[in-house]
Amino acid sequence: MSHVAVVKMNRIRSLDSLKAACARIGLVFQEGQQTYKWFGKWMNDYDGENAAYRAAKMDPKLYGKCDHAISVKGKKDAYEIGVVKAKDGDGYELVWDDWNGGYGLIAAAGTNCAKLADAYGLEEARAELYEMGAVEIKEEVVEGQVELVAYL
Amino acid sequence: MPEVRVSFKNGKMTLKTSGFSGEACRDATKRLKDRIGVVESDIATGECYEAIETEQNHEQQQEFEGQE
Repeated sequence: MSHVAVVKMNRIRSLDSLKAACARIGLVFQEGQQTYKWFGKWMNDYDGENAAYRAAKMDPKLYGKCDHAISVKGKKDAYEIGVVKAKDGDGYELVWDDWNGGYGLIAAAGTNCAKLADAYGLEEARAELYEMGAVEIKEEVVEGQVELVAYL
Repeated sequence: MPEVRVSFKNGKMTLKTSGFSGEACRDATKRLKDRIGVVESDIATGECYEAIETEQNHEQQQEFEGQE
């Protein structure tokens, strides 16, 4: 190996990659759905750094509203993820309620939606590698993680 | 054939390259890094430096030969 880089991911900028990421891990992208399922009432009981009102500067009055939504395949009672246009106009933010594991949402999307973020990253990387002229891209599972292997 | 390996864990991408010569190993991953996010660490291993040095030596030799 000659080069190793670790990159912390940006916010969501491609809905196509997000849709593909959802399909990859058993989530369903609900195009144009303008509400997402959550507890339903702001209890003002969470102020962690990733709280939507802090991280995305989102008005708690707007919790539950979104531009698109993501649901868990086959789990009607599970909470959903809201896909909300970023306030600065650059991409989208993901918002969700993890109360009681989101009734199955967190198991599917991962804590802090890490599984979804990783799947989104893979789809974005695949798209970029093709744009860079990759002649072949395959997937391997290495220590439980999907690894894209591209030949340029 | 130059190879790029990309994996993700907890919202972070790890990139590994092999088979590139010289600075090409950085150039090849720059687009990926720019698209995905913010670089936290970026390590060119010995093989990369060796390749860069080899290429630089080669360029210097060409210049020298040109002066003759």
